[in-house]
Amino acid sequence: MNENMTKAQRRDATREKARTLREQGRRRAQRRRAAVVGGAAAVVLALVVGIGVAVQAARSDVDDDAAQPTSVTEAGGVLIEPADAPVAVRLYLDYQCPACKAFEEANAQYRQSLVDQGTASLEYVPVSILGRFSTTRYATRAANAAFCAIDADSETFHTVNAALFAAQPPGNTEGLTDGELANLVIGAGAPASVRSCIADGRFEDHVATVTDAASQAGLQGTPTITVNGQPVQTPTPDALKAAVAEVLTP
Amino acid sequence: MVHRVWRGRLARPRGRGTRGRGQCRGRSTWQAAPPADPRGLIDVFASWRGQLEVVLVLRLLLAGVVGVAGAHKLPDPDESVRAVRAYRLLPEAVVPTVGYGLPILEVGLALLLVAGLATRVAALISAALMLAFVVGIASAAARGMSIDCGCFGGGGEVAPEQTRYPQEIARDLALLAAALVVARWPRSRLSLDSIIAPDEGRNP
Repeated sequence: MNENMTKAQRRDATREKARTLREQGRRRAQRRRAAVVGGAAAVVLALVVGIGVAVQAARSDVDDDAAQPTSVTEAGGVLIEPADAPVAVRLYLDYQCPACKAFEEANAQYRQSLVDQGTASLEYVPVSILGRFSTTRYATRAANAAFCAIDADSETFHTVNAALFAAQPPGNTEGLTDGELANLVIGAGAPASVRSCIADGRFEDHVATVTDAASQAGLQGTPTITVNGQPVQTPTPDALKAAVAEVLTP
Repeated sequence: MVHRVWRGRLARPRGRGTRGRGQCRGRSTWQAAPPADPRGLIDVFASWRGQLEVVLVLRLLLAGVVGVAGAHKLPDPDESVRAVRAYRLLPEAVVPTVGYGLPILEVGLALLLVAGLATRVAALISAALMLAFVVGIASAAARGMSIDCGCFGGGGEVAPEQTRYPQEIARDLALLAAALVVARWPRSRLSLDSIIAPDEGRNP
């Protein structure tokens, strides 16, 4: 401190210094508090995410031990014989999917002829990836209804499948109720026992599990069609014919 | 001590990391008003009177988008997992964890940002998230995939003409910029941080 200062000046300078020190201390304390809050928030966020992962995993319907319909394939779908046909066609379908409906209606006869001639086996895998385009998870409920029919009598699948596509509701609507689905499926030839299966959503976990397995196998959208395991790039009737022809004429 | 007058206001002395020291020695550039020099613009923002309000708006914008995105993904965990898987970037071992955890993380970040609590931490994590999204979407575009980004639920394949990669990337880059601004200047109006540590981050 300068010797030339008056007593008053020295006193003021000392006060000023004390004030600065107090201010610095306050700032340091705030900085520490902010750091503690930041660290605590990061830890709490990590904990919440950890718990949330467990909760979401529990909410997931994917379950390898889910109840399965009788006579489903490894992919979880239904196989239309002949099993020893040289060509194996697999179709992933979503009953809420307009492109699937168009595909189904455009070449149902051609596919039937493949089966009738013993050329190809058809494996249908109903999945649910468009549940959000309905206010009532129609895609999942309709796939469940199809599995109920498969479980009760897999011979009825062809007509049930066609009936479900014919009754496809527009996007973002309620669609058919479980009761209406049951009426439709029974009207298409399934036994009356499917009614409780549809009402209970007995195979909804199976739908979720099959969908997840398909997604792991590379399914990105529906319809997805594979011929002897090879995906048909554009799922059109002509592309399917070409892919089948390619297998048959090596 | 060097002071600078701009817009009639006595600018505060510069802190660390601003313009290089050599430029302050009576050069004419020193007196020039804030031209296209980005450093100059950053200085202007750093000492600008409206900073607290701007950061509040950015904070709430970020919270809104991230929160809505997370909330849309929450109801269907299986769909969220498929949307993550659709990028074909992460190993299958971590795909379900990311699919389950991402919506929770987004909602958690949104809550912190809305409250203005641990704003810097929340903004930094948000910025990292946005960067990851940009990388993911750009990679999907580069690999010629046609998927929905799944940013607000949904996800998976769409028709090639329905992809919106440029818009999705632009939006996420804008949010990334907002998150970085909030992380650099986390002080803002109506925040819990300003109650807990009112002077933290204030210019000296």
